[in-house]
Amino acid sequence: MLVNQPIAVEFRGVTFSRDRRPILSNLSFTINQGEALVLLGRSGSGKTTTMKLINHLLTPTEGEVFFHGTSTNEWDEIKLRRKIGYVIQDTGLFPHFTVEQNIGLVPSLEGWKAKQIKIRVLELLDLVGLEPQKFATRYPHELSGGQKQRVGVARALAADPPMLLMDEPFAALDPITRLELQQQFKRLQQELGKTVLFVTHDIQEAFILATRIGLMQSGELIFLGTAAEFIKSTHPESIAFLKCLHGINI
Amino acid sequence: MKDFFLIKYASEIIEHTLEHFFLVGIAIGIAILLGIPLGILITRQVNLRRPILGIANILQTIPSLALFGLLIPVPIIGGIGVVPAIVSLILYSLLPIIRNTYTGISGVDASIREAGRGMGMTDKQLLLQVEIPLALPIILAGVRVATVIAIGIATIAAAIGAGGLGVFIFRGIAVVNDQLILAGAVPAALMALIADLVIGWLEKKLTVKQ
Amino acid sequence: MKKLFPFFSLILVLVLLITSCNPNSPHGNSDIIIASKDFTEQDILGELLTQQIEAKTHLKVDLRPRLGGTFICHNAILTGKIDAYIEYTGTAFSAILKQATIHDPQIVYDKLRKAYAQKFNLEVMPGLGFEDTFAMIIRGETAQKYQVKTLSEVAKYTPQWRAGFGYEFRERQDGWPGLSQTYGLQFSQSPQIMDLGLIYRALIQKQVDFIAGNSTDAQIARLGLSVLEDDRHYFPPYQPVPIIRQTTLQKYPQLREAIAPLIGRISADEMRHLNNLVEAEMRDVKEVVREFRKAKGL
Repeated sequence: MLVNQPIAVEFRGVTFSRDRRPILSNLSFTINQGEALVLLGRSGSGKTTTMKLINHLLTPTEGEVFFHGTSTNEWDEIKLRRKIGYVIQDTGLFPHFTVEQNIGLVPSLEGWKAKQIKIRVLELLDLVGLEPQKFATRYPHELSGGQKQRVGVARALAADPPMLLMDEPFAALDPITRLELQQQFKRLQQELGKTVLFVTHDIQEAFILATRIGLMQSGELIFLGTAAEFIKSTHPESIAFLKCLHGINI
Repeated sequence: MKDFFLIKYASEIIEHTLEHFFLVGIAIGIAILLGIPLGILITRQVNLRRPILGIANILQTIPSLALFGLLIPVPIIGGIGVVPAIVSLILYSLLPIIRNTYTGISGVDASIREAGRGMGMTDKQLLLQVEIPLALPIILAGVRVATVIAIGIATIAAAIGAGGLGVFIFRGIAVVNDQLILAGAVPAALMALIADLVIGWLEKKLTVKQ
Repeated sequence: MKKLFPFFSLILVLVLLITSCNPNSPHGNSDIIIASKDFTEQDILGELLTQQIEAKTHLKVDLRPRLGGTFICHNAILTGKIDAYIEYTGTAFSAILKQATIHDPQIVYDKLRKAYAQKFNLEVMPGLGFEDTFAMIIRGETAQKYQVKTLSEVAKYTPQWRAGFGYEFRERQDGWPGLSQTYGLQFSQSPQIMDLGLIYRALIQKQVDFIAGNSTDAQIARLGLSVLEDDRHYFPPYQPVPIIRQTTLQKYPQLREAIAPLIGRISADEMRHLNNLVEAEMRDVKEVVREFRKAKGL
């Protein structure tokens, strides 16, 4: 258990509304450094919105979000985002950049020397299980879905950020590739000690990856705890999700 | 063969073709310098989109001969000769360029833009490194359309003394001489065709597989 | 596709209807069609002919001003698309009949009349009184500076100048090509070509230094311009004459009587004054002509 670890992210009384419709209500919780917090919930439960408040792609209507002790309202937006790796379902790889250029994006924005970037890229390709010499010069359209997402993860890790935000990154992949990537990513996360906020609606995925699971429903965090504690939860929404878990009989 | 219009008027055809090229070249160049930034502006400032596209649209609907005529008494940018001709050609070229810049940039995949922003690219970095390169084929298509249109309209500029291939056409009409008319029309058509092909080729080369 | 069929047939019907209306069909509900060429003096003369005919006969005239240049009007009258227009003797003689220049106005007129009757079945009526010849014009200050009065004198300065012409003068054999040969005129670049209405503006704004205008243009006096003398007598005489189809005259013999009062009635100064009223004072052509006819008791 990582209870005594310093806090990476804290939500304090956060509310988020768009066009006067409330999307998140009174969220307060912390993410510990080094943990993988999986936000689980149905579509529209507010998990992606919660995630986007951390790197200030969205701004809280009420309350504050703290990253490494400083409120996101005070952070320089660009500096903040460069400290947080970002992986999305569609990957968002730049089609006109090679794999190497895609991965090297943040380092090059930060002014690293070309040689440094190249070394780092080859290192990362290796890390995510792609043969460096083979893949560095390829373009995204030449890659399979799974390969693209590996590049996506490598890109997020390139400048060695302390935290990663991941929004259903493996959802569009076939189940075999998905499992492979989940298991590899879990190992990577533990090895590198990165703090990760992982958004998904797949309870199986949550169980594989999570240090803790945060269950969201209609903009509220209705459960936050380990997987073992989740199984014992009596909340109807938890039970609904657990029913979908294969291999566990309720 | 000596009577064939391209041979008969050869040296004048070269002279007027260069004039024509000059008129269209300068006009398109300036239209690009004005139009692309305006197109980028309206992707950032949504409330400016309607007015800017609206004005460019209205300019296009003005009949070209009328615009030349209206500019005659205007100081500095008007009068007769090359200056009002180029000014008019710039005004006609703006709409395709502004509109295609806007369409090209807004058409960049939302997830690409989101990933860029999420990783900490500033608006300027996103624009220069991602949006413009990906939008370039569509922007060029707008330049292509503007160029072909401008080559056609520039023939009318001969009426206000701007020179160009239209000179042959007006001379030919005055004395009902087909050869003269063709000496103007054919090179102009060829110029438009070549511009269309060359810029089209460039578009294809710059199109990124997604 | 079936759903689009009625839509397409509607479009087809509309297109056929529109193309079958022909607003330019000869004669419509008027008796004769008169055209004039594309400059101010012709606007005035065309209107004059029209008002004269409508005043003295019961005929209705369809006036088509600014039909085009010399050759367009000539083609139109040959093919019967128009019944009459006002031509200049020199133009008809040199440009249309392509005859070598003769300088006696009466001889030119007689030969013209004969040739037109024989070749084209067109009647050439006598002149309206004045002459309107091509005028080679430079700015007054230029004439002063170089002390030039004739085209021969100016030939040594033109290589530093730019010329400006209308489309027809540039192209007609009895215009620029012949003139440049006769006087050995060369310019710094090829002439700037433009709509005739802009030619004086180009001269005053110094975009060009030498233009071909008309001797009855009002701008010459008003802008202090200088006309260079045709000392080698390159240009033939140019007298305005009404030209009418013989078939039209046979059909409406009253036309001769109606037009007769105009013969020899307008002086060059009067024509210049009328040109000035319309161009410089921007007055309406119809009004100007009406006033003129009243003043002359036509």
